Amino acid sequence: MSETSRAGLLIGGAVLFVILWEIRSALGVLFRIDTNIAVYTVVTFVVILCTLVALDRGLIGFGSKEQ
Amino acid sequence: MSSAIESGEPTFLDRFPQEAKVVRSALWSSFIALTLGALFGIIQTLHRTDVLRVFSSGNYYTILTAHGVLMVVSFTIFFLVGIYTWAVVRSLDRPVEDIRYTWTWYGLMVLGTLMALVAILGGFIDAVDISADVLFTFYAPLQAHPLFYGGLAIFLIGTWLAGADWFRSWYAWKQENPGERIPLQTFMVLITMLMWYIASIGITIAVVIFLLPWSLGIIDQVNPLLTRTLFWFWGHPVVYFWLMPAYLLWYTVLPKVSGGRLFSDPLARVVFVLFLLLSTPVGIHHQYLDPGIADGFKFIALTNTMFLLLPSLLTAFTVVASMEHGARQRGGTGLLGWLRALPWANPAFTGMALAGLMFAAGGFSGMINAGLNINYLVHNTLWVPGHFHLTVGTAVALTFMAATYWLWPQLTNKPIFSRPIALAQVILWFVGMALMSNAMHVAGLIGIPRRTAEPQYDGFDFIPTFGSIAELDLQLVVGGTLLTLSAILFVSNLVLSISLPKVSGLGQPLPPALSGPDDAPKVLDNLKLWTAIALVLVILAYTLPLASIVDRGGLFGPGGTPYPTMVEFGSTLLEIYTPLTTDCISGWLQ
Repeated sequence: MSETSRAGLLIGGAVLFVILWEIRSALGVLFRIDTNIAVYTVVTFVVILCTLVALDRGLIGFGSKEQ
Repeated sequence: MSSAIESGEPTFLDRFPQEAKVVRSALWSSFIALTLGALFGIIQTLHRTDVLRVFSSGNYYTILTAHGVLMVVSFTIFFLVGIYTWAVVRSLDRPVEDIRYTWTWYGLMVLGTLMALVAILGGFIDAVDISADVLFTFYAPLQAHPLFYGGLAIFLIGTWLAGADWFRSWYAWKQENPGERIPLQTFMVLITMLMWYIASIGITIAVVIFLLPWSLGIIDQVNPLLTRTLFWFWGHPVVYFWLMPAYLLWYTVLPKVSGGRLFSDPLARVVFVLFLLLSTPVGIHHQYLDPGIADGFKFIALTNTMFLLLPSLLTAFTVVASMEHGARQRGGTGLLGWLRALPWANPAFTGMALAGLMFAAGGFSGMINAGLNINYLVHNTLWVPGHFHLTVGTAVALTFMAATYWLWPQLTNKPIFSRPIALAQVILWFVGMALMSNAMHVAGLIGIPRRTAEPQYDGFDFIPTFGSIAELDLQLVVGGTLLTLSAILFVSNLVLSISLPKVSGLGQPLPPALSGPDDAPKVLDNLKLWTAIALVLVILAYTLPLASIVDRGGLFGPGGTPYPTMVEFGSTLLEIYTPLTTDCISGWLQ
């Protein structure tokens, strides 16, 4: 677990954002599910933030130095 | 900052100071074009979405032409000649044969660019009778000032001479090293240039024989379909001319920055040979909706295009395998756990890895474009710019920027001003492009057209399957703004690096491949053989369509009939068979 870096988490967060955004398009184009853009955006950022905080604390730990 | 990248090795600048100067000049030319191209990019994004209109819609094609030409001709090809000069000199470990000759082709490319740019920018000034509002796809019937075509011709000659320079270096090296395999980077450069020479045949004929004389008033008219077909003869392989330097960087630099070695040198050679063979006989897939080209020829182009997926898939395998090797060398373990051990804090690595990821998405949308029937859904819609902003706009551009972070210190003996800013820059490009191209793809699916300042019609509303047009426009603007910010950060970071003091020992030698050139069949290095096969494939793919276009529309116009050839062919068949069928039925009835 020690090889995880905060830079890696940042990139992972960016990739997760893109994936979640593409899922909105896929839902809309394929299934005509019209998600509210404001709600979807807020939820997307909350999900990413929670994921990053959880991974940061779980994989890197409190007070560890940036690699 | 510099301690992180100091290796103690001499740099390219230490070893080849004259060549380093040429490479730096070519890269600066590339980055100036990127800056100007980005400026025109954000202007058109804000204009099209009606957020901010600096120019009238009448100037939209001038802006679009400047954006297209600066980005996909100047930015990409200046970077190519810089990186290829570095690659040849580095991998052959010898200076160029004559540095004056090298500066000559670079000078010609600069001159050609300036001529074309003056012609394009002349479109903003009504008092001047110079304009080139013809877009990057500069075929007829749109006509530019002769200065534009002349500039392109000189630029093209510059690239040919650059290729000759690299072939000359290789030939001299070969005389001193008989029987040795061509070093991988030089092999990639030579194959790229062979492809380029073949591809250039189309555009040379189009410009020299038709467009330039037409623009000068020497001939009255041209056959638009012929100039379109000759353009796309070159226009698709030019995509690979942009991509192949990115491939060179993915194959030879990315494994190094991952902490490992290239997985397979022979596979890399196979991939480049396949690009030489398959890049050119596919251009007609850009003309699926063009009347006057029979569907059979389009089907051949479709088939060849699908074969082009093979080298891309081989690359995905080889590059990811090399990255995994690097991660495991760095202590990574597990089925996917090794991903965490990759050097994500290194902007050179992260930029190239994200570029590769986006290229996969671009490949999928490219398959939609290349599909004969499904292309009808997206043809000339905003989907198409969405596609090529993933390929050339990200796979190529982001790789070039990321590789610059690795190469620049070796060309200047100065570290990059800020690696955190560099990391933020590549992430911003990735997110910005994802947002912008996503909006373009979705807009294209509902039929919103490309190449227009006013993408709306009176009495007609595009109906999105989700969200609204305003949301798509907002997404375009946010994406475009992030991309502009990213481009500014990139260029600023390099400019600020100038002020840093010189440091020694910033060289980054490239390790040999895990499976080296000796594992590759020698036939792979037979450049004459692959060139001959490539020419045969081009002749097979283009002779009949071109003959048909000239036969039906004339060499100099007035052009083909405005309906698909197959319709006429079908009508002819009906004319022949209907009386026969009627006779037969009459015979049976009697």
